[in-house]
Amino acid sequence: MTTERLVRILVLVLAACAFACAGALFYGGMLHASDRWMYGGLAIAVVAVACSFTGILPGSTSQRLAGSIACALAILAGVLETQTHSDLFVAVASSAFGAQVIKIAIPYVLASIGGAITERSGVVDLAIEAKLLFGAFTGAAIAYATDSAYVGVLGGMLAGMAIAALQLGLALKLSADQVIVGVALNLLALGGTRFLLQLIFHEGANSPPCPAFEDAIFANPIFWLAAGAAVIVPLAMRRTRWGLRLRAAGDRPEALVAVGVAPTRARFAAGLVGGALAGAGGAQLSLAVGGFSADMSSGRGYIALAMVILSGWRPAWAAIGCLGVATAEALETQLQVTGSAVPRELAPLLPYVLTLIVVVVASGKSKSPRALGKLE
Amino acid sequence: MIALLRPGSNGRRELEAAAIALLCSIAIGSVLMLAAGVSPGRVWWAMLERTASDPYLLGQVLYKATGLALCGLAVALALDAGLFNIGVEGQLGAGVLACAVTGAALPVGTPSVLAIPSCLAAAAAAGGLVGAAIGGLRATRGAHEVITSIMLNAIVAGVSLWIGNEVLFRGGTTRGDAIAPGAELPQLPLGGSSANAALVLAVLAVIALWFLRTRTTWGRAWLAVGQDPAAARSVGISVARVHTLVMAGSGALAGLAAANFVMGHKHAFEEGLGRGTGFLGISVALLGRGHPIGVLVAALLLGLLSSGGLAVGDLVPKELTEMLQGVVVLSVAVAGPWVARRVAQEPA
Repeated sequence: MTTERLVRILVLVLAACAFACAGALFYGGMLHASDRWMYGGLAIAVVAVACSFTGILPGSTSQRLAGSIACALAILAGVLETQTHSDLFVAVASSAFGAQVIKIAIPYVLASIGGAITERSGVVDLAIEAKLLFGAFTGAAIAYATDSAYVGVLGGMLAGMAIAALQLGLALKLSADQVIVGVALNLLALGGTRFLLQLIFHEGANSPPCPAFEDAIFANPIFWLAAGAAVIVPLAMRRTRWGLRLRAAGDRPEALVAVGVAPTRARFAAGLVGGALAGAGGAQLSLAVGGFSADMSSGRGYIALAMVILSGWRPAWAAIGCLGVATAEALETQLQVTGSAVPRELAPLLPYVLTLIVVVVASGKSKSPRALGKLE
Repeated sequence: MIALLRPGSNGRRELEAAAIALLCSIAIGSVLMLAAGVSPGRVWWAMLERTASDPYLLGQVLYKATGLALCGLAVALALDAGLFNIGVEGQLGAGVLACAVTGAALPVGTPSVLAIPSCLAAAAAAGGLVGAAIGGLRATRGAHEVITSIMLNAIVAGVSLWIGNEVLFRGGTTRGDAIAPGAELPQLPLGGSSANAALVLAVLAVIALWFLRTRTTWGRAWLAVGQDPAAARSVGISVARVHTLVMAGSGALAGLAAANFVMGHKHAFEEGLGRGTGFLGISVALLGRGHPIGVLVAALLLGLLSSGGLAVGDLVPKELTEMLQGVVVLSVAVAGPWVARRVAQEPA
């Protein structure tokens, strides 16, 4: 094992500890109604997110060492802040915060894995937002119609696939610009779901309540889908014919042509799976709360895409990045609940600011699929 | 990447693509109307007939078109240089805030000669700053402009709401102090509609952009960067600088659209003022095929669609016109390459 590898593992382990520390501080802060702890937790979480990226991304050993030191200092600060209180461990043991993070993370994780698959096959996937939104609407509508949240998940996946099919058809068969198709589909989804809401339910902004998974984690099939995808997709990309072909379509489409496989076909095979995953992520949005509301994806698709880019187009790492975003969002939600000094207009901006920082820091370092956005 | 959407030398081809896209959108819109259970012919006719016969509605079309033209020009300018500026929404938001704050800060008796230019400058500077940030990040860090734009859109919206709530809004409303009377733009006499002299600004911007991109070396430089960055670099053009400057200019144009909303209509900062215009500006730029004149025509068409959508609100849900925006962009994205392919297949 090389030093570089050791350092990389070190920074990731430390970042994980820092995450735990942040969660614990936060929980402690809630128990004690202490704003100081809350901000401490928030700061540590931010450091941990930033540092875990120094471990994930290609970079120099010194950068990773700097990340490790930052993580260690953050943890130390956290422990110092709580040294007189022993409920640190009580808070760690409490799973409510973790459950909250997971619930928030599911749509992000599925969207980013779906996006990573589509992008690795060489198609720019800006339509993740549309897949989430249509998945959310269809999931809620089907669950409402069939009175079963499980069927709703299937509906969400099919909706995601339908959007993906439209996207790929326009981009690959009619050679429309992929970036513009993505943005147009997002606009279409925004207006289209509202139009359907009006047409089907005669409502302006919210669908009638439908069956929901609510706070359940292990009884929620979408959780298992997300967890399964995070494990299976990276393996499938390396080991199966589907995965090899989609990677070839993204990196060297001419090689694929040489062995007699049409890159377009491999891209459809990849994009439809990606669409189904993103659609399921959308279904989680509406089925977790038991109803669809207009624009409920609110930019998650773009954040998921940023994580894809950040992870260097590696689905498992993208999923971990999404966990970081979800932690930030859970902290922000708690801050709003406990009523802190952070203005309520600014707290929801945290994921956007983090994504912006991370994109700016990480862009240009990771390697994109060679044929991304190109035809043939 | 955006090569197929950039205006080529072949005007006929561009016109053809825009016409096909428009017909496609009308056809899809008609199908949607059928789905909503109304006769498409009746809706389209009512849209035209009601708008044409009522000076107020006609004025509303012009009011919408003014904002759309400026935002559309902003998107078109960025497209010229090969950048896709979907941050117009945020740049407009920054412009609205800066314009209203400057206008309200001016003493009540400020003469128009001073008040109007200073408000315009503030709007353009705020929008330009946001744009320059996006362009600069792209040029120096390689951060994709689409992602940074989306993030900045959300951040600008949140921050301006915060500033509004903390400092600007008065007495539980979502409206700030009125701007100095000298900074108000005169209304056009169209049945009490919101149409105002910012229309002149939009037309001037069209002419200025047309002049810049066809008659000056600057315009040629940014078009060259858009066509082929590597080639542009090899003749000594700094691609990074062009990207930053073009995005600053694009943001400034988007910021100027605030004149239409703040100085021409509401005369104060309001929450959500002009929202959605930036996104619709993308459709305008694409439908106008990136050409300044085309953008102006497209702005009028989409202004008719979005204001006419309200005029026929009793026949179809207004969500339909919202959805049509996406349909228009998709149609243009498909029609451009389709026409280009057909032209390529034609015998010379």
